[in-house]
Amino acid sequence: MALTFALAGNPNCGKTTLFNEWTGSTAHVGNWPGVTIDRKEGRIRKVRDDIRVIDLPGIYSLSPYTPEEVVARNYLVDEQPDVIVNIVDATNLSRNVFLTTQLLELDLPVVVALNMTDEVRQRGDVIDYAALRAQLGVPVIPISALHGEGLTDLIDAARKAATQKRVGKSVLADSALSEPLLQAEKLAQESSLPSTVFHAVKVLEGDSLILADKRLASKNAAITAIQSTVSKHRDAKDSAESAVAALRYQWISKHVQPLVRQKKPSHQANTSDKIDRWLTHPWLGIPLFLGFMFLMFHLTFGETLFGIESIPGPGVWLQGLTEIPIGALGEWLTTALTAAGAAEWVLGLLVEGIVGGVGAILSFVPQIMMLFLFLSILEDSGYMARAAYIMDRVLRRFGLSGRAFLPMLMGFGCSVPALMGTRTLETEKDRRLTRILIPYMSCGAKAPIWAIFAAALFPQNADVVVFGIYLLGILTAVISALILKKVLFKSTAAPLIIELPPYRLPKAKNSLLLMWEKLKEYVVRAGTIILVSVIAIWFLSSFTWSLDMVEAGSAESILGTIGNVILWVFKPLGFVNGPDGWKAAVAILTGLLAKEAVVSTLGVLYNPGIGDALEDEGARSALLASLATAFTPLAALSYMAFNLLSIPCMAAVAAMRAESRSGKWTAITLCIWVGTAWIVSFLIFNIGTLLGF
Amino acid sequence: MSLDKCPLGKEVTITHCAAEPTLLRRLNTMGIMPGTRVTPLRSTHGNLVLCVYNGRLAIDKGLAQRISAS
Repeated sequence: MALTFALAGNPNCGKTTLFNEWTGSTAHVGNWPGVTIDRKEGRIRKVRDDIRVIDLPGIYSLSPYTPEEVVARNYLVDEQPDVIVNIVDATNLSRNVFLTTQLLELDLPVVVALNMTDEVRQRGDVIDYAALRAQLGVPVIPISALHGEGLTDLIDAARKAATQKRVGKSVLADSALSEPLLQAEKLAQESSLPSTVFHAVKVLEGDSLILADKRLASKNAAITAIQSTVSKHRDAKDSAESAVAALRYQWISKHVQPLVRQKKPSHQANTSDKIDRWLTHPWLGIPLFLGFMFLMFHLTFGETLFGIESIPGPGVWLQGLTEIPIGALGEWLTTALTAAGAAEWVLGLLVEGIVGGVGAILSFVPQIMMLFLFLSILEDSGYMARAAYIMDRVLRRFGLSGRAFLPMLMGFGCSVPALMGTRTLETEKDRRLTRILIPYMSCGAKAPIWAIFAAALFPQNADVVVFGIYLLGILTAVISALILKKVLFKSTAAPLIIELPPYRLPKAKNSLLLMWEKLKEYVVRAGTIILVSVIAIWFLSSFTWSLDMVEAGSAESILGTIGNVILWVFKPLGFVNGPDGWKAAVAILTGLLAKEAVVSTLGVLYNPGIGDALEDEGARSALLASLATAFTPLAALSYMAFNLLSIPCMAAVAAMRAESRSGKWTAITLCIWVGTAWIVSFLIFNIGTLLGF
Repeated sequence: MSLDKCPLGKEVTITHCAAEPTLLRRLNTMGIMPGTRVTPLRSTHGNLVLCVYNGRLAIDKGLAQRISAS
């Protein structure tokens, strides 16, 4: 019969490392219903019996406030795993045991795994495991998930504990609240609530979720009596929860803290502190951070390695590798199908639609993968927390918390994972605001647009123009944040409280697994949408309303006619003048589906039949020439600005919708994007014209 | 005195947290409450890194100003 171990612990306690060690490739990542939190399950490998493991989200407490906490506690109470394996970071025992005291209140077997015992040894500290076991009343197993120490002992202990029923116990039992606790326990028993002690403590805390439970419906009098007893023991200003939390820490200070004999006092600078003196230095911190970020982007997107002409940048080189098979496949298919006399639309669908679409996604994958890998390493090592801390000061001026920097930074690579990354922000308001701003960080797919217009219209100053576009995005984000804060998101950003875990060298396997997980989510999410989009674009630009096939991108195609109709919206922005104006409008439309499509579409519309301007040198040169005549420099700037700020690709919109879980906010966000893009384009073109450019 | 004014490297005891319930909860969970002994370690433009129990907690300047200690 299968056993289920539930892994519970604080963030940064090494839970995921343990989970990966145990489950490896058997891990399956799903979703908890109703929330965007990963649900990780797997089987323990290399054991004879069938043991399932579920990795609960990292939590500091079992309160009902954050979605992670609610998910974890509902799972523990409702789905009753066979044993809770509580991973505790031994280097920060007291804070970690705060959660332990809550887990112990459940009627479930618990085994405490003291992780990072290797670090404890390194520091010269000694923990009295036997005494800790006596105090907690459950097995305490020292382990090091990173080095694979103690893991078999842990499995054995958990297996054994799973066979013995356990009744919850609370540290409040011999505290000032012992009397109200007894009364609450009686109440819980009478109301047939499971895990009597756990629910009793929740009644003491005034836990809103528990108090709303139907089984307590008729017991209001008893509950009020208990709560008034509790209030006698606390300051009028404090809540019952604070009082209980204080009692927990009092117990911990008395019974757990003394069990750790520290070689050096806590506040004395350890290795991580010494590193932080530089990395969080008031003046060097931000430059160092920007330096790391630049290095990351350079290795991922840079054309050459450190400017050395003959060596391609790793990301670009990997990207080139994927283009070879795709290009070859496309050519082979074309010749094969033409020889077989296939209908033109079949050729179009397969080569331009499917191969083109898959090619577009695949060509992006190596660089996204590198970006994810770097970010995983930075996250696992503990540096990301420092970065949030350093950037907080800058971001707070614009109404954002330091935690917003990471998703926004990722936006420079791709909006889809960046939008998914907003989950780490504390309040929904912060998350919503950040999601609106993320697409302003010019993503990788938009880069070809800047490259081509800069080369066509500003050949002497191409790099300045491209840099200017990136700056425009950042500037728009800053100004939008300031405005939106006043108008829509009136509260100030959530105060920053972030744990700075000790620096740890991430295990290669973990970083790769983390990268792989994120990559899969990206490919599935973005990949399917971009593929569908590219096929849709091909279809809409190759057929008329009466479904006759036409030359790709002609004015009679569905897309062409739509482009002509919506022209008037773009007239004041200066880039749809002249007989070819509708082409620019059509490219914006296709850009709605996938930003890579803007350049391809322009290429197809201006110079049909000579290949994809994104990939074919000849096609690119032809497009450069066409654009130089079709656009004025000012119109080009206005057009670039519109593409930068307007609705990002469908994949990003889908990600935004999924994260916000609100149709209303999705609509508002879309309006903000289009509106901002229109206004900025308008200003650029018209002020520029007035100034005589 | 508020935490942002406490001298670095000297252990102090928290006396009061002027925070609304949501924020207070987060502070309590991390161990910050009246009676806890903390040591401000580093300051970066007013944002503060504290030693709490055996860990390091970073808080922003606004929050540091709202926590009193002696």
